[in-house]
Amino acid sequence: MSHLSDKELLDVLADFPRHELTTIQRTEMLKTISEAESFKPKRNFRFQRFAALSAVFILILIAPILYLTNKTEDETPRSGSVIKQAQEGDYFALQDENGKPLYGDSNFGIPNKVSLLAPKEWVVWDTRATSKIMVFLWGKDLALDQTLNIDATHVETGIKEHLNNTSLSAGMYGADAHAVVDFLTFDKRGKWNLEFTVYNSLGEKKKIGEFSIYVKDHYVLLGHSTLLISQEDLFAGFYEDAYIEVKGENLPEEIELEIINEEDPTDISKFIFKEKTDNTTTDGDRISMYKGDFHIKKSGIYSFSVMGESNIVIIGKPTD
Amino acid sequence: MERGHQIEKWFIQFEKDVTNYLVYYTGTTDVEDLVQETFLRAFRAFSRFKNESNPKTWLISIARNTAIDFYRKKSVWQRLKERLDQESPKLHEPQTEERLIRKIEYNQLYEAINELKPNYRDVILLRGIAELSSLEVGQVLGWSENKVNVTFFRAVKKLNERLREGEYFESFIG
Repeated sequence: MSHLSDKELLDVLADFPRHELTTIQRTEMLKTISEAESFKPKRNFRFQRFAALSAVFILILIAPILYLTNKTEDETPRSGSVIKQAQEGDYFALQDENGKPLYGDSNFGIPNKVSLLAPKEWVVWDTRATSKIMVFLWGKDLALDQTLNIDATHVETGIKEHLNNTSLSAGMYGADAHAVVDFLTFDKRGKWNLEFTVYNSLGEKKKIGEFSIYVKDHYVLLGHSTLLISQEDLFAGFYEDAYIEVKGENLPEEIELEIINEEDPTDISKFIFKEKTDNTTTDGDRISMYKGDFHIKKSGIYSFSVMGESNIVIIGKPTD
Repeated sequence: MERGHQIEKWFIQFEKDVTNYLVYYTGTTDVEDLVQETFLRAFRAFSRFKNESNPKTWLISIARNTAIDFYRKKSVWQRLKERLDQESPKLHEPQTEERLIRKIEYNQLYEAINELKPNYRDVILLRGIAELSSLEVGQVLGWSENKVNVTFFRAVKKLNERLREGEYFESFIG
């Protein structure tokens, strides 16, 4: 064929990769549109005053009832309750012996209180991000006989997790004390409040600080293989230098990522991952890492498969 | 239905179409601000929406105007052309964030479309990417349906010439 007809051109263009916003972008935008709606002209002053007075009157009537009702309830958070999000952490630099800034792009927390060398991303069930985390603390009363206690609370559900207990070590990088800790993995996506407290030898407790982190949805889990991209970051588009981690020994030099569109099983894409590097985990497991590129044309339901093991992945649904 | 709720509903329904169109129209995936501005403009201009119109067509029309305003007087396609001229594809790979299409033959087709004159490019992107009918494209561009069809016919003809010059015709046809 030597000529592209009108219809053929439209067919080819319809097959071009589709682009869309991320779920976070979409949510933020919907919020902005809602706020635009709530921005309405001022109402008549008399009506406002009347409404305000009515609200105060009703509040006076129901306040005692609410107080008595709340007092009898269990204080522990229930499923579905909302915990107040702690202060947002921020990135700030530590200092070496000569006062030069260090880890400005990874040290995360509250200056002069507490911080940690954060992983690139926190991801549900991911042990890579939660092992051997260095925590820094500031305070005149910190001493080596004290124990650092770290608790995490899932903001959306109120679920609490005890992450770690460990002894404090001497100060470094400008902090008054530090500790190396292995966190438990997070099993829910969303905001988590991290609370740092220390106990002295008498068991006295002192809160050092609290800040929130965001934990992404889990990676694409394919049996022994893991595509190291959080499922919430997967949308229509191109992914370059993506990594697949495979557990096992005597693995091939190249592996294939197969993506099948579940809504159109004839739509099958295959991508080669190579540049294999072998490692051993701290648990003694042999793993290999492969690098490659892949793309997803549009949102929908897909089956991702590596070395005969597969899983269903939902890409970019607006109702996520 | 209140305008806010209606715009929210359209956002959920047509955000993908608007985003996808803006990505190919501007040549960059960084269109978040343009998408937001499109829907905020739609919110503000809601009283001017005619119920007999297709909301998607109306939104695409606003998106296109928003992009044009954003790039002010210099047309988007001129910017694209300048950028493509500056980069020799044989010597330099396109920047990662700017690479909209990985499949090479599609990329070549997209580049060929971007080299067309603005009217041709406009009508192809509205027909092919936004998937609007000739009548709807006419509503966006303020043209008659006949003019859209004639322009599209000429655009495809010109595109074929460019593709033949590039000698990559067989790569995505047949």
